[in-house]
Amino acid sequence: MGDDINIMNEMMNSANEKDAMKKVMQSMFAVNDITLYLDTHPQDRNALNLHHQYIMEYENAKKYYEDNYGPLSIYANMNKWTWVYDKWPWEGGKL
Amino acid sequence: MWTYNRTLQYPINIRKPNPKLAKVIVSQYGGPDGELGASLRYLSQRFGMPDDKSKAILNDIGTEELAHLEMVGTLVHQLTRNSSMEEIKEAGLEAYYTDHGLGVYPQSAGGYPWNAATIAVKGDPVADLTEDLAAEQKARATYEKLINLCAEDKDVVDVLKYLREREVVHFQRFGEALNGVQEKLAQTKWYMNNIAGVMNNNGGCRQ
Repeated sequence: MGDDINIMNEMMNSANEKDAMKKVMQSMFAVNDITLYLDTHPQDRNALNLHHQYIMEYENAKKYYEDNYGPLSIYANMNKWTWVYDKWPWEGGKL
Repeated sequence: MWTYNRTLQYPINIRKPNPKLAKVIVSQYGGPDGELGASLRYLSQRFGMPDDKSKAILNDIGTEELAHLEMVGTLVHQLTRNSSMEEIKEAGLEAYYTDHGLGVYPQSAGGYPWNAATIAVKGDPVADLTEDLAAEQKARATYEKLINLCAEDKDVVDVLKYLREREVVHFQRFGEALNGVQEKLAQTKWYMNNIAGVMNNNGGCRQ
């Protein structure tokens, strides 16, 4: 019984991490895409507002992910150097 | 994925254009021991690395090399911008100017376009990390030749010295990564359980 609960907790944690990573990736992509549009339409106020919104979503998503699951870049604070031990994106760990 | 930071890794403000220097410095942009090859070499080799430290160091040095590529490109750009036709001819840059104008093109000092044959990805951690050690030494030696050739411009030499120093640091870190890999490889000789274990020393194939 205790084992089942542990396994369920682990699955939940893993699902939560994937969800958190998905939010990071979605918001990063949104920032990336609106940037390309703004590069050729720098005067578009609506697009600029969208950029503000996406940046906010990205900052929140990044903070949540890094606080709970580990660094996304070398500019994140780490209590231990988990940078070297976490799975790399090309190993298919995050999503 | 990568995100661009709008800053150079080290400041570059060349006060006096000098296309003659750009003609040789371009080799560290797209020559046989240049930064383009360095970044692609490490960022490609990292997929085949067997242990945590070597994956991390290849990822992170490969990333730094991209910043160096930008720095060398900046040197070439600042040394050639606003050059007159007379200065271009005087520097012997007619052939380059014909094909690339004052753009920055990845080629060697001798005019050969960048070639993937100047890098190797063997899928063997010892072979790859040993190549990386040699690559850092070749880049260090190239920067020293460039420092000799560019002695007339202190601004240029200052940047080249910084880049040379980074090659020395990378050599050190690759040596440490290679030591780690070799220690792990040695372990498989002593512990039965490791034979088909984490150190999958068979070119990445499934056992």
